[in-house]
Amino acid sequence: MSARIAVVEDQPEIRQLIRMTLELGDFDLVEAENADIGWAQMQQQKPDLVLLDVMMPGSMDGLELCRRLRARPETAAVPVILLTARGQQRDIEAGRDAGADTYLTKPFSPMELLDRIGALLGGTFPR
Amino acid sequence: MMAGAAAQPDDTGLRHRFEIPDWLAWPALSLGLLITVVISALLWTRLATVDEQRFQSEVDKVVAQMRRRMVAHEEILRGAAGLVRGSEKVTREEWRDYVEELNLPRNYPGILGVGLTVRMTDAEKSAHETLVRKDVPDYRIRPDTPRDEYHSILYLHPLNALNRRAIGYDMNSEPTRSAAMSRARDAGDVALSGKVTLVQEDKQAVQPGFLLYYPLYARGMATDTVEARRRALQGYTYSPYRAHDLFGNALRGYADRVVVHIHDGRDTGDESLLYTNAVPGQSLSGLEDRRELEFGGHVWTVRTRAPADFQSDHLVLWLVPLMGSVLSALLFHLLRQLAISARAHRSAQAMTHELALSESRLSAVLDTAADGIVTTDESGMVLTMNRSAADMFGRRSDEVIGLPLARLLPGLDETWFAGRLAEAQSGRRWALHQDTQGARSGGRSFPVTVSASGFMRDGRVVHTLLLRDVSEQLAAQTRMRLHDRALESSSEAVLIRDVQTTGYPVVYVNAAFERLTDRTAASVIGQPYSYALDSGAPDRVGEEMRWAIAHEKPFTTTAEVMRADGRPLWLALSSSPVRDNDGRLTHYVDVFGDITERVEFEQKLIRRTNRLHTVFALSPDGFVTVDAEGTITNVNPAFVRMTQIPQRELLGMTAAEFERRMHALADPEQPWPELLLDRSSDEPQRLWLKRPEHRVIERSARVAPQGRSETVLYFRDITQQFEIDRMKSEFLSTAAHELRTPLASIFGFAELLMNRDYDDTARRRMYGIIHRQSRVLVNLINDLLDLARIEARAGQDFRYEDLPVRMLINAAIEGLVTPEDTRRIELELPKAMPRVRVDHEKMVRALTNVITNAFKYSPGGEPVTLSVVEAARTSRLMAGIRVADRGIGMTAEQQSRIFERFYRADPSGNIPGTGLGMSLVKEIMDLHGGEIEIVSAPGEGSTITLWLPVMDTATT
Repeated sequence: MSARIAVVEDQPEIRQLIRMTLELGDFDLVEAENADIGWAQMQQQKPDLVLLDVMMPGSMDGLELCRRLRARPETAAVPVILLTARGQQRDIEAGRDAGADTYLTKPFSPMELLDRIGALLGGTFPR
Repeated sequence: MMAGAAAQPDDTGLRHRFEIPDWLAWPALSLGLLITVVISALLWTRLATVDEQRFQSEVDKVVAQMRRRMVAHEEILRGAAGLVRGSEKVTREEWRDYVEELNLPRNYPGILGVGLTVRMTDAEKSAHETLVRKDVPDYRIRPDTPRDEYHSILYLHPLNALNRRAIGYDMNSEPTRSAAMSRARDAGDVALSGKVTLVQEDKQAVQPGFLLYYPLYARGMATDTVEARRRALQGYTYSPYRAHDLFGNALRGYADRVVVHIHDGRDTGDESLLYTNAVPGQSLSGLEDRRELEFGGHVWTVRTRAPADFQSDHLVLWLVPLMGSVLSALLFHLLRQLAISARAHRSAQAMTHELALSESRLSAVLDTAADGIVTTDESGMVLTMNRSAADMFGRRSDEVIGLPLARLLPGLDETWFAGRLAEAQSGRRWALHQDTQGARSGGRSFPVTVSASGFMRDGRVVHTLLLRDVSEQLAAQTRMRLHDRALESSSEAVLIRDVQTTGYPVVYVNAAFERLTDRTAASVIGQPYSYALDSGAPDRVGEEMRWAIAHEKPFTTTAEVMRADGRPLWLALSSSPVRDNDGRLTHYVDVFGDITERVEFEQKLIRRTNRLHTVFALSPDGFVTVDAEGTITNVNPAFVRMTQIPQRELLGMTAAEFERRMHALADPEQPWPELLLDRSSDEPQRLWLKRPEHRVIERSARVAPQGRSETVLYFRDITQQFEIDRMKSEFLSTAAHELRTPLASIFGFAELLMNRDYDDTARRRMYGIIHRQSRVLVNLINDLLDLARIEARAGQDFRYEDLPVRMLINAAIEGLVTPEDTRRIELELPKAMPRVRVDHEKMVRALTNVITNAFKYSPGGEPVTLSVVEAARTSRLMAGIRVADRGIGMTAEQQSRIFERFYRADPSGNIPGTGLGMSLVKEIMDLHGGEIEIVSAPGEGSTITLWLPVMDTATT
């Protein structure tokens, strides 16, 4: 059974890029354009991995959503990859504190993303 | 003389009580002599009796001692007899041991020895001699004339050369010894012999001797009768004595004070004398005694006489009557003299009384004199001194009498005094005055004025000195001089006016007055003096002064006066009344100093303080001053504006309360430093306030370095600066984000295209995305650059022109809408269009952005309406270019954030844009002095009006 990956990203172009990148592997993709929608989806069905944009409009940003995931026992152990347009040390630490497993700075390499996902899910994917 | 007079009254009183009559002397003499005779007689009688009793006691002692010694000797013989009876046959050795045991020379001096005789018949004689010769070869009974019975000395110890002669001697052959031996035999007791010459005596220093016998009877034979005893007699124990040795020794210490003669028998002739201690030529008193001492059946006569010195002292006997007579005679004489003296005194008493009265009267006068009065003799010795003088010198008058005057007046010129002495002796009277020094007891000296005079009396010179202590007078003069000096050297000007005279003329001014007012004393004294600045001005000081003088009160004031040289002067004046001893007001003393500098300084200070107050009040920064106790003493309006705490509440507020009130305004999300407790810190501190509005305030404190430690707290509102900093940082962060997002697409799709083969459709779509995102990136960069340029230059590079609004609208529409564009702009323009002063390029850009937004947020392609309006806004006529759409509209929150950079009302990405368009519009409008009006509601479209000041209205 293919792994379920939740993507929360407000920029449609980036969502499309991720979608096309993940088509290279065997994944079920669940997309959300903001954190509130993503959070609702994840509560309904537990994802195997979460890709989170940090800066998103709305009442919740990526960090907050990450904290909620970690606070909920069902999703506390789900791997989280943060996508951030801010590459400063301060932001990286904030992500760690929120409970993320790893992060990628925009612009990011799609191949790198696949590698990270593979590493976190314990599988490898063809290039 | 005066002292004598003072002592006499007591003396006379005494004599009145013990008056002696003339006749008393004679009976007193007779009685004295009689008493002397009686006492002498009694004394003599008594002394004779005492002497006799003492003498008899001495005799008793002598006789008793003789008897004691003889009894002791008797005991020796009885002991020896016991020895013989106790043993069958006493050997010579046993005898010797017994006698040596007695230690005769020490215990019984005078005994020559203790011996044993044996009785034998003629028939027994030769056998006995033979037996004894075994021990004593030359033993022989002597004299060898034949007799009925023989007695021979068998043992005699100590066996010295003398006693050896006696061994074998038959004492019964000699009548005196024989009589004693017979008496002992018949009586069975000791018997003493008469005076004999002992056989032991050689021819030198022959002493009278005697012997003592004790009979020994044969054991078992009856001894109850004389006859029986004669039969039973066996022998004797005996002792020979030398009388001088015996008595001299025995009576030592007993007969020292009397002369003793011991005679054998009752006869007292020289023949019978056994012993005497009489010294030839010794004088003897009449006291004499004669006693017979009977011992061992024999009588000794003891004749005792007292020596001449035994009796009581004759001198004492004669001294008593002699002294009695002399005392009587003395008493007689004394009484006679007293009687005469008393008579003489009675007549003198009356005179003395008169004299004493006169002297005490004089003394009282002298003692009440205020001046000291001292009289001296010609050598300068003090004779008298009155009480004032005594007080002056601090001594009692009687302790200085006889002292040299120089001790009291060490400063007095002695040679001068001697000269006066010479004058007085030549019969001239003299008098003088001199100032000198007196010496008080304790060594302190004092100034004294001496007036002295001298005169002769009875050929003797008497000086009388009148002394006046002038210490206080001199001290007063010194004080006065000091006061004068102080007044003259005072830096305060002093003026004294006579207020008993009309016009209150000046009577005194000091040097400081002359200096200060530039007026000479001569020009002021005798004149009224006014402190008025000039004659024309109202005399305020004069009014105050007249009132004070009328009410006799002191007063102080400050006044501006004119010096003689025309220079104005500020004075601090203090005026006070002076009264005489009766309390009448006589003078006023004005003391004043130049306070011109002080006044000028004060005025300067006031000006400066006012300036500071102005600065304080106008300052946009808040000031709070706090005193040493932490109480707020001052706050400025800026601080009140900042905190909205009313000034009246702040003033006098304690540190704790201030802290509490300020804390209540704090932003709870920010750290809050203590305001006052930490005020010494120079480090500025940042306060985040939430009320009355969000502010960031920098607090610094400065403690006044001197005087009361007042702290000035300085509150500077740095909200704006702080916001700008914060916004800059946020802008950068956001700009980076916005730039990275399109880059992420470009980068990502490019990478995908490089790594994978996609079909044509997919590839084209991906290229399209890359192309579109590149454009977004370019727009972003352009907008950012525009914004940065406008901000940085702040309108300085604007080229302003007076342009008709129409021109701006045309330029915007031309640049925006291409001929094939489906978008429609409906123009509702008036005929007359106003002119505005704008930078053409910038304003067209702003308008274009607004129109673009209107299209973008009208997803249904609804037409946009553009109109121009004119209206008076904030008292200015303005022209508004109004762009209205019928698109999605905006919420209130969206409206409030429309000018935020990178804010997008639609974050979905469906509507392209940088989020900088409206920010640019805002910047441009601000720089043109314009306004942006927004009217919008969600779903109802938005109307945005750009208002610009109107230059004039043109008809185009």
